Amino acid sequence: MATEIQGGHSAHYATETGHGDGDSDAGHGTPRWYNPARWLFSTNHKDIGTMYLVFAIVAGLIGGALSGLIRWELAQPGLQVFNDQTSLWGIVFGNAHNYNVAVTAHGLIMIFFMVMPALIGGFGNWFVPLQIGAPDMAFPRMNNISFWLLPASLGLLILSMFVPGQGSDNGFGGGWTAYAPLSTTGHNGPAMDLAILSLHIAGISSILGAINFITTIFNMRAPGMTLHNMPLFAWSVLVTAFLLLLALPVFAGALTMLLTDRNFGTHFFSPDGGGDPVLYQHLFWFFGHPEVYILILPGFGIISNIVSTFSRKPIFGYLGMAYAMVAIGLIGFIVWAHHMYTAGLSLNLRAYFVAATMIIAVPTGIKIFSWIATMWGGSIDFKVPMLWAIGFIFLFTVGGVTGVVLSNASVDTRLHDTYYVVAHFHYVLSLGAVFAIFAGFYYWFEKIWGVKYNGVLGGLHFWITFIGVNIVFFPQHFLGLQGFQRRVPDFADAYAHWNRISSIGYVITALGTVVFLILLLESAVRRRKAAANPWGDGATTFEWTLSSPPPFHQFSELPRIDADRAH
Amino acid sequence: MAHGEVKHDYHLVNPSPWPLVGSVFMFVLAVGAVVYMKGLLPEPDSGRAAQIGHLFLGPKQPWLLLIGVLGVLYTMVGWWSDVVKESRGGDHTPVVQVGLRYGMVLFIASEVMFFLAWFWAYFNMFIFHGDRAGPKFDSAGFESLKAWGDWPPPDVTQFDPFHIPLMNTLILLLSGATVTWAHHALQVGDRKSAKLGLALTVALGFLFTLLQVYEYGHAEFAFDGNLYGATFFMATGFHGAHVVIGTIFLAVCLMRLYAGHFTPQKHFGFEAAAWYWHFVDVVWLFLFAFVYVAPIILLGGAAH
Amino acid sequence: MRTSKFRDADLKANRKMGRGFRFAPMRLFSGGLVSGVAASVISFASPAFAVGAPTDRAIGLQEAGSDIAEAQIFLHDTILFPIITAVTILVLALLLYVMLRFRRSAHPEPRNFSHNTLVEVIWTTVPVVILVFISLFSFPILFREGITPKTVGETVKVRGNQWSWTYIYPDASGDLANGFEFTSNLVPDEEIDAAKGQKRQLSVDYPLVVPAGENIRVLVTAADVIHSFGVPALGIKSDAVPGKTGETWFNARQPGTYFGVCYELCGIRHGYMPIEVRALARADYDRWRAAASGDVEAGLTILAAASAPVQAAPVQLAARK
Ligand code: HEA
Ligand code: HEA
Ligand code: CUA
Ligand SMILES: [Cu+2]
Repeated sequence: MATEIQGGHSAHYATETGHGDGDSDAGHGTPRWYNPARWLFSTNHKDIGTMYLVFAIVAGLIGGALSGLIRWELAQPGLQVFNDQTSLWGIVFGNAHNYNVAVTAHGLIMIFFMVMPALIGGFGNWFVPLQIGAPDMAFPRMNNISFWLLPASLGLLILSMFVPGQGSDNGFGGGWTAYAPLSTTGHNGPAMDLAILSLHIAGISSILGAINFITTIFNMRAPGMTLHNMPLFAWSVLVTAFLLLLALPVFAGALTMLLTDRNFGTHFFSPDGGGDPVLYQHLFWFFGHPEVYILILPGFGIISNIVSTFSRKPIFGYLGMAYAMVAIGLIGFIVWAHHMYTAGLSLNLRAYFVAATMIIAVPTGIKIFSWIATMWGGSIDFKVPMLWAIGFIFLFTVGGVTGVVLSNASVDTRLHDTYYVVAHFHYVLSLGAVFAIFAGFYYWFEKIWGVKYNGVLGGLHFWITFIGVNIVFFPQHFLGLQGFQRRVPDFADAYAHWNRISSIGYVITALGTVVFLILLLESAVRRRKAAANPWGDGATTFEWTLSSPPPFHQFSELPRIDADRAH
Repeated sequence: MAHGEVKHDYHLVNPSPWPLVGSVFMFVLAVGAVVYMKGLLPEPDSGRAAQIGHLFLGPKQPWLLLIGVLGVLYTMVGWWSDVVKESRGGDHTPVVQVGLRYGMVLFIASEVMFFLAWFWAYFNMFIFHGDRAGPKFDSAGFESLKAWGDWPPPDVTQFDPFHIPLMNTLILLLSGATVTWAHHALQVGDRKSAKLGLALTVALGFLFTLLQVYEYGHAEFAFDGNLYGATFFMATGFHGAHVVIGTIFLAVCLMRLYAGHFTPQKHFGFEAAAWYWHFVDVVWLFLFAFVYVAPIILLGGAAH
Repeated sequence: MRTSKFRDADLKANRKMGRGFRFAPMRLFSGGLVSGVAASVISFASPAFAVGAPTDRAIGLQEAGSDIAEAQIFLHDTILFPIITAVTILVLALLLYVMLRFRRSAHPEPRNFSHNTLVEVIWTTVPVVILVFISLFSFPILFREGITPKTVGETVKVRGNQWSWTYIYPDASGDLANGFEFTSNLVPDEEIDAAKGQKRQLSVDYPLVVPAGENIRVLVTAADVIHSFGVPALGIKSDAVPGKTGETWFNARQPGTYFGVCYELCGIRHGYMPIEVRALARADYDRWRAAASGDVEAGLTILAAASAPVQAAPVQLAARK
């Protein structure tokens, strides 16, 4: 086993080499973990991946806390939290505007600073090079700026919550979609400008990351590894990277237009100078829809790896799985206006977008059924990652089929901007993408940290979260069908019942997150040494041939893949 | 194979401060930009601390922005100097060069998508201007909208496309030819012609920018308060910014050529600059065709 | 219980009976079959003044106050909901089956196949067929919804403001520029009078008044930022975009009050700009119009008289517990 491979370029650390901290497998050339330069100046894909994961956990906790404020406010009619009392309370929480600030920040943080860093930056960085047999990413230094731009970006977003947004109210409260003119003339303070630049920087980070991943996958596969026998997680990151590369610059353009409209007197989106508010929506969703697939595709890849590992069976219909993702990516670029059915598009246009959108159910269905077919005839081991993966398959289906309901413009007239949409996207995100993140986290936990976690706590985390999030989000379908609008802190009494249930569900979910933190703590304190491959012969990808954690520089001699390697 | 030496040709880059430094300055730049545009502190109160605070955080104060911009430029210079050093040190093996090629192509692809946004805004107004005067148009409260039923709006006098813009088109096309000439010369080891071709390219790029600046100075429509001006100046302005960047890129290559950096076999820095330049060229052709010429020919707008 | 396929004739019959199109699956799902029948009977027997509003604990779409809303309910309750439920249950059943049948203890040796052309073809084509089937119903309804009928009883213009709605009525010749307009605001919590049928967060001081049983064309625009004019029971939602005029239409089947809200985030009081549509019999409407065109307050008196039934015996259209 290649446990102590040393790269040739670690001379930089010469003074601090030696065996890192006694109980890790780190070979010579591994800088000690407490050496700040190792992290601050890192050009190592695994270290950078680790930083991404830590960042994602922190952001997830912030985003989760914000959703706690949201659910607290919505626990009953009237204003509980954002009630603008003239006491200290009011100064801390503010008014209905600040509710919208919280919702906006929650959406942005969860998407840009939790899911994307976890799936692409974290797992992508860690395991794309390992799975394709590469010693590192193509551009290791650029990899690091992709990471370090994120704290800068998150910092700007958080700062934005505490400077004037509209009048004397702090923060930008126009939703993560930031529709103009509410985001231009509707918010006159610097908060929105900070948010815009925050997103610009997050976008640059992702574009650079995308370039890095595509180049790595195209150029650095180990001898014998073709695109057609590459693990599906690497495939999913490849498709995702293309979506990032092509969608984000359009968003950058839209953001720049917002910025000039706000500060330099242009009128792209304001009608009094001839501009068109709906133009912003087109530009935003041309990015925004591919973005939602960016959030889920890496998850698809993770689930494929896990399902195959724990069924001890090669993935069913490998090529179909890979090209289904390509199809989802392609179609994802031509369906954007299904978010704009009520914005006054022509009827024919709406009809086109209905048809195009519904088609995505087909490749997605191929994936769902292929996962089940992979399990079929297997020998299934219900380890913690597999629990999350099976949870994902079911809950993502629930979220997906409500997407199909929404894609029908005539029904969307009723459901647009109601909690039905909120329920839909939390089923695919908070119960889809997040479940995939936890599945991957537990799958690769030992590989990344070199220690084992407590399986009972992991199972507990799964079951509490599973129950909690379903109680949060299933009733939101009912609210939406009854017409409850999004983005309001107060509501008609008739929406009280299900909102109360939903808020109770949040408490359960929060409890699950506490279990997660306890699990992290427990494994950090106990430090049970991890095996190279805890999962047995079902785990066939390259990362399991290396020690846990892998050597600082792996594959100094490139591995070879037999031509007939099956997946 | 424990403790074995590296048996692959990939480039494992040494740890580097630039990403962190660059990000810190990006943060400063962004905050500085917001300070400059809006200010994060209100008008200064009395008191020295407040005044110093105002200097850096008050509206219209450029200092923080300036620090950020300089810091980012410093990072770029430091970073790319390192890249050049690594290249000269032999780190850019053939397989690494292939990676660099992918990187550059993908970067250009993302730039293309960035321009898509500006063309989208432009075409939205150009093609659907009729909508703005049609049944969907609502004048209540937006009297000025009526003017936008036409494109270009009646009070806008466009540039005559067959004057400076045509000249600029020819300049860019010519520069595309000279840069190709330089490339071929470099490939056959004719460094003298390569220098000449590249120098000409840089000069033509510079000339383009000069003419563009001259033309901007004679625009009969404003940037602000005016949708035509906004779409025109932002699309051509971002192109102009790319021309400037491309010119600098080419100029750096010229300097490196004089410093003896490129060989007939290995000169990816030059090629990247050339690709970038062709991309800038193609964007211009689209701008010329659709922003300058098409309105005149299709809609018969006024020009001078 | 009607589960027949969607036909115009059904709608007409339903309209005559003055009650919504009833649909079984959603109701069965909620275990409320009996109360559903009861609700139909009540709404059938009571005076025809309906209320379209959300109901606590309800789990379905608000009851239909217009044909379009009913068509949407049909599409959702009869076509989409059963299909997505079936798909979800199928996935769940397959998952549970493989989890039981192929768990490590029951099936220690995995098989090693990874292809089966037949099932792959099936799970690609069957969804396509299902989607085409959905489209057959979805598109006609979309086009009905999107095309304003030729005969229009009244045109009103709606303007969203931060944070209220302005309703603009044309003059006798149909000219919107010379008619009359008034602005409608939320009734603050402390002034809500439940006895008058007012609802927190939904009732307004001056409702939008229209004649019932006629096609109403609504032109929607905004003064400042984007708002969205949506009334669930009437099946409409149209974004109010500054500088643009959206168009939608509805036909309130019977006199009644139909509540809606602003559906597009528009700033701090986005949650406080509800919509109340009051549909009146034509004669009542004409009287209201005559009075209100001079003085909105005068209109209110007529409105109160004409809507008396709602105060006496409100009929909750949305009785889908
Ligand atoms: C991970 C993110 C993610 C994913 C994967 C999806 C997937 C889909 N989404 Fe979702 N969506 C969002 C995130 C996501 N969405 C977000 C964030 C919003 C709101 C944004 C905002 O306004 O703030 C949104 C909003 C949204 C809307 C706009 C609603 C509105 O505002 O009015 C629509 C409308 O068409 C839609 C449709 C779909 C469809 C058809 C899919 C499909 O891809 C789903 C396909 C999957 C399945 C269908 C299940 C599996 C398939 C089978 C088992 C096969 C058989 C099935 C059938 C035949 C039906 N989504
Ligand atoms: C990925 C995206 C994501 C996630 C995970 C969540 C999670 C949650 N969301 Fe959120 N939400 C959005 C994206 C997301 N949301 C978006 C885009 C909007 C729209 C904003 C807008 O309107 O502009 C929204 C809006 C939104 C609303 C509507 C507000 C309104 O319209 O007024 C509500 C209300 O209940 C809500 C609640 C919740 C709750 C209770 C959770 C809970 O599930 C939270 C529990 C916490 C977790 C599940 C996270 C735990 C994760 C970690 C700790 C990180 C782990 C990382 C690693 C292991 C690496 N959200
Ligand atoms: Cu008006 Cu929301
Ligand atoms: Cu979408």
